[in-house]
Amino acid sequence: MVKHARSARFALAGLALAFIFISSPLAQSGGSGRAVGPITAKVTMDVYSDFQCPHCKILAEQTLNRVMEDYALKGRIRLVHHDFPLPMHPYARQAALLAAAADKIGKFHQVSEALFKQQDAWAASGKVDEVVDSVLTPAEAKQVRQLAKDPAVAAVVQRDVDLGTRLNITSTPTIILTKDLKSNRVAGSVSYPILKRYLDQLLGP
Amino acid sequence: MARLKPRIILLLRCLLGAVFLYAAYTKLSQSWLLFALSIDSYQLLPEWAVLVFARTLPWTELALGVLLLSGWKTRYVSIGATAILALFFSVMVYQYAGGTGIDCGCFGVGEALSAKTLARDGALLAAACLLAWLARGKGHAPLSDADLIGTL
Repeated sequence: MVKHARSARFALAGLALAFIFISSPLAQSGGSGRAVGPITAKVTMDVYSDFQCPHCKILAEQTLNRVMEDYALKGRIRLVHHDFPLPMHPYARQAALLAAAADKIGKFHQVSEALFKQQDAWAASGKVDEVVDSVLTPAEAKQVRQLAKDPAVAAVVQRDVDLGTRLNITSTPTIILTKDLKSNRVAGSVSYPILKRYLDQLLGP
Repeated sequence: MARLKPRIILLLRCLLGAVFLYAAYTKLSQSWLLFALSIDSYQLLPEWAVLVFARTLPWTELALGVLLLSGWKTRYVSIGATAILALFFSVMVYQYAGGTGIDCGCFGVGEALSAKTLARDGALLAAACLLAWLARGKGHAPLSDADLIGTL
């Protein structure tokens, strides 16, 4: 009897901890700029992206920024960035590493925005660091450069690449929309008005 | 050749008809907006045209499939099928040449545009051209029951 009561107490404590985690800001934001929106959102939008890919730039600047504002930040969907640097882009992995490093200090959004905005320049010159530095303080820039060399950060990028490979992703950007464990994918850049219609349909009235 | 021609026409009609029906089924069995996203990824059309195409194209494919299988007005239907396949093929070649990594959109979403999808659509276009050529002129008559049994 005592044993049962103890088990029940443990179960209750576990449930309470789970509830606290789900309602915490950490879970709400995913604890990272790479994932925005509650983990419990009805719809998840996974975006496999390459910072050096021109179509990823178009998608990020013309569509994803608005999806973030209108859906993810309002908690309606969970928007997740996945790195998928393509071998044909020589500086894409370095850019992904720097963005993943910036994520560790809470600057992912600023860095990814700058990387896309100045894509033409660094894709030609290879000076990715300079673009990243331009949106950080000197101290943050130093920290990000150090973090980018950390194997743990490289592992974050590689985990995304491995996941994308397992999902047979061959091009960027690729969007995977999941609702009720059912996923649909769209490859290529899509415009916000059409995506908005589909998201609204998925979310229902 | 005179006896072979109706049989080739029947085979091409069945092949193309089945492909159009399957293409329509894959699109109509999912949200039309998902197909709209696929069309939109080609970045060739304005929003209103994307929506019109996404709404009407699967039904056009369904109608072409049914008409090809029924053998009604094969001459005109095969020209329609050739025109639509030529449109798809040219748009796909244009995107593939531009190095755009997008969905083919041929059979719903999720199939990347590749050399394989181009070869498949090219073969279908060639089959539709052959059907239109064989079914040209007024002389084309539908298969008799005996021919049909012989073919099957």
